[in-house]
Amino acid sequence: MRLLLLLAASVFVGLCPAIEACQICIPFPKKSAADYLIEADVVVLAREDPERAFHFRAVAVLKGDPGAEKIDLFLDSSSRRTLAVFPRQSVVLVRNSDEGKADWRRIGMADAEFGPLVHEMLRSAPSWAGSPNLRVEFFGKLLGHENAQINSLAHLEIARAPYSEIKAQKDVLSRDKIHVFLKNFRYMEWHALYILLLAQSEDARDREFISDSFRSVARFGTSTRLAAWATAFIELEGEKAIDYIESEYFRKNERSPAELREVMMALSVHGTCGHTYLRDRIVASYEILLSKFPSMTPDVAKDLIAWKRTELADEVASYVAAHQFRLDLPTTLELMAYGRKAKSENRTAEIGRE
Amino acid sequence: MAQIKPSIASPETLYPGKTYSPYAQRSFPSHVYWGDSHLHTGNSLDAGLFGNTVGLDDAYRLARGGEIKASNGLPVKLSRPLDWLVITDHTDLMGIAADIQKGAPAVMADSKGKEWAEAFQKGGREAGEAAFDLITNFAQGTLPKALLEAYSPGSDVFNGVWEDNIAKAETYNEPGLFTAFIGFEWTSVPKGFNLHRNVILRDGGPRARQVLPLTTQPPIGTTDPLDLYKWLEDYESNTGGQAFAYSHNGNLSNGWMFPTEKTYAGGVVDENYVKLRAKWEPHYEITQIKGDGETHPLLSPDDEFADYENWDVGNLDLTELKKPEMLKGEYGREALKQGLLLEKTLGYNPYKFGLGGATDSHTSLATAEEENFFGKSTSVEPSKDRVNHPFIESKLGKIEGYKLVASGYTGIWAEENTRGALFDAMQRRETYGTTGPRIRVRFFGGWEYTDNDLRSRAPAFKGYEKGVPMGGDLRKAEGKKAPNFMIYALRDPIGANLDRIQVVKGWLDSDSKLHEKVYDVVVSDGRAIENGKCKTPVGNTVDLEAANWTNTIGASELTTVWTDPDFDAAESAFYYVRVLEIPTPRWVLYDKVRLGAEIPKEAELIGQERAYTSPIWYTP
Repeated sequence: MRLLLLLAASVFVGLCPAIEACQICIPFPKKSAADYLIEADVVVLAREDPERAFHFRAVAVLKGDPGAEKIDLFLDSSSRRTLAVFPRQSVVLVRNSDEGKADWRRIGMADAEFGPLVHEMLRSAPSWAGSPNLRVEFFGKLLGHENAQINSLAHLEIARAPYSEIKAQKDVLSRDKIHVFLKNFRYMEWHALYILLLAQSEDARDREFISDSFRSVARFGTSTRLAAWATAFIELEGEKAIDYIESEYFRKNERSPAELREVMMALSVHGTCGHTYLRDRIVASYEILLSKFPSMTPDVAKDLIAWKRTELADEVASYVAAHQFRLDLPTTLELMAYGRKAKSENRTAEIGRE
Repeated sequence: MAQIKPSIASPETLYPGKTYSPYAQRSFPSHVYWGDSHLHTGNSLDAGLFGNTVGLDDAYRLARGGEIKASNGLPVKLSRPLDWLVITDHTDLMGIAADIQKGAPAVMADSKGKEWAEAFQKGGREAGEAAFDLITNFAQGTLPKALLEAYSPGSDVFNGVWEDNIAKAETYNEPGLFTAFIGFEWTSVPKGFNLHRNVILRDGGPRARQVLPLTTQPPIGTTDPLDLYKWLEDYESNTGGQAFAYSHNGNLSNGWMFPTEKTYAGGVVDENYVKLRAKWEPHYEITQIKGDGETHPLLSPDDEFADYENWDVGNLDLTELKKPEMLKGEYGREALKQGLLLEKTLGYNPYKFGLGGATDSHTSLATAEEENFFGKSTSVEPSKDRVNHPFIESKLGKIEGYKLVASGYTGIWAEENTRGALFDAMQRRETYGTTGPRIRVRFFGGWEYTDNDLRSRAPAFKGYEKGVPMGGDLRKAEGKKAPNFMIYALRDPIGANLDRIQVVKGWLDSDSKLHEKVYDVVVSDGRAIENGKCKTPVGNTVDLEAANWTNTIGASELTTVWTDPDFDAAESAFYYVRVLEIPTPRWVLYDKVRLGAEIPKEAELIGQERAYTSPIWYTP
């Protein structure tokens, strides 16, 4: 699961300007409206306070107790106009005192579709805690929704779901739509998700597109969206794709750590919940990776531990021996635990063979 | 008797006499010259990254009336040529994006730069990957160090880009016909607070080549406006030239654009600050694509036209939401008011600026007309879906695509179309901004204007003779009860009729309290004005199906001599004019009709375009 979250993290890297110009800030949100609703102490529906222009007043309480204090949040002109045009709409506001300061935050416009969904999310949320798949199922149905707020929320929820769950959403967006989005920079925050969805297409043209795109990315030498392209490529080409990744990335010297991490992430995803039948092949590939790039050992070891694979115990042990003073404590302990376990299991296996 | 020097270059030549031809031997500004004081080309990092491929040459060609192709391939031309232009590319990493697209030598010398450039040359999928990769690397701050250094001040490459800017301005500058100013944008935006300033030089290449524009990235650059003032001071003392700065989009500064106590850089608003700001910032860009900056309804609750094209969600990158108390430091009218108070307490008025409009387009296209709007950046050049995608979005909020404002231009009253004459007029504040239409506005303040002066059909003669034009200071007039103002507005010849002329007054009372009041001073169609207010709307002829309107309401010209009914000679004050057109379609309606765009219901389809003159000040 942790590796899957890593993949999600790669999809939603916050892109904000290190060198600030006028208009380069691409939103890669990490928290969804559902997260805020779940975490909030108080959820209200609010409209403009008739006694205080450009300020909110709660018109309905959906969760918690807002108290008597006035809502300290500015109502911007656009939202104000929307509320004026749509007298039945309101703004969903949340307050979470866990964030240190109990600031109000708006999470969306409660229009005819998002409003009821907020109620539904509040009702369903308790059941998601023990069964994350229910949450994915809930939002999977909303992917591609005509309501932009709902669509955006569903994108965020699904894009950070395990790959196996993403695969299950393969029919929610048409291939035509996906191609349109992929060509448009304005949807770049969702490109990785679109690539993964496209990988589920049975259309030969998509297969060719993904294959060409991945080869192009490999030639170009970028790590941008690389994990998604590689995951999609493996989805379609299986072992042949791993052969290609091995020759293009693991057997060459010039690949950057960022690129290696991205393609490894794709292998990890498939070994965990994609084409798990390829796990042996992936572990063999990891061996090549470590022979060339031992610095990837901590990343690889996490998969080996999760998959209970002991083949690379020697490689891991020698890496720990050489680097233990340069590694952080949790990593050292994790690798050492893997080494001990691998040694013990290998010994058991030997005894069994004897 | 003239009370103001129309030109700081020739004060002695005012009114040498009148001849039969009312146009001969004039020595006051007779023409309004239209231009855009804020335009970006692909040399600006953000513009280039988002695909602007229109270079300096085409930017000038379009401004001069030529037809060119936009980056998205659409042919584009202005309804009428502009008279002047300031290309104000961002100085940080200036030229890098355009050079990557072109495969310039400095780019090819870096392995990553070479990869990007070669991919762009190949086009197709690899170009797409390169663009995506480039944007990502920029946004994550992982551009190769060598490239960053090559495009920073002091390097041959940066010098070359600046030289190219200068050379192109020199090429297209034709005194008397078209003025190409040399300028740049100093893009200070600490923590997303917009403190941007444009810089304009009065001078040509020989002086401009002696300096490099100021950047904001340390260690060379700085984000503190006081350092920009130092740069300007150095420029003038080292080259003998002249320059000034002008800010924009206070609405995206979250209160830091017009400070009254502390500056964002950690300084205090003291005598030094107000003195320097008054000296170096005589102009303000009050309206442009990222929102109108005159005032906000919360600041001006009695102004029924204040709720106009406001962007008030947060700072520039929406990393901090707006709070009501921030508005005071963001809008032009409020700054003009605060300036009166600061002048009283510190001796100088730092916010005694003239007004102008500009596009701030990042497309190289100085288009500010609703029916000819090519958007803020190449990504929002005309397309069916540009209205439906947020233009700026963060985890805290968003600004929808339909909120972009097709605005604006600056009209400069000057004697001739030269760098010197236009610069001097801007410096003496004889300018006004519009949201796009070329409305002609005269505004004079004095003590003894009469209706006969107005009926002469040549109000400027009496205007200058008896008073001061927009941007000036009223002289004290002993024994006079109240100042009066001669105002004349003529609609854009190919635009919409006029609804009304208003005078906006701000003043400081004896208790050091600031006030403002908007007076309707003349309105169209015989509507009544009672106590300074016309309560009857002008009407609306906009055809939502055809994106059209008729000039069957409103007036083609409006004129008046207006006397301040609330004048108190002991109170300092300013007066400026706002001219409103009748309602016309916003650009989104043209997108709907021409492109079949689906416009969200909450998007405004109609607006009342307007002009804002520079104020006239009264000091007891």
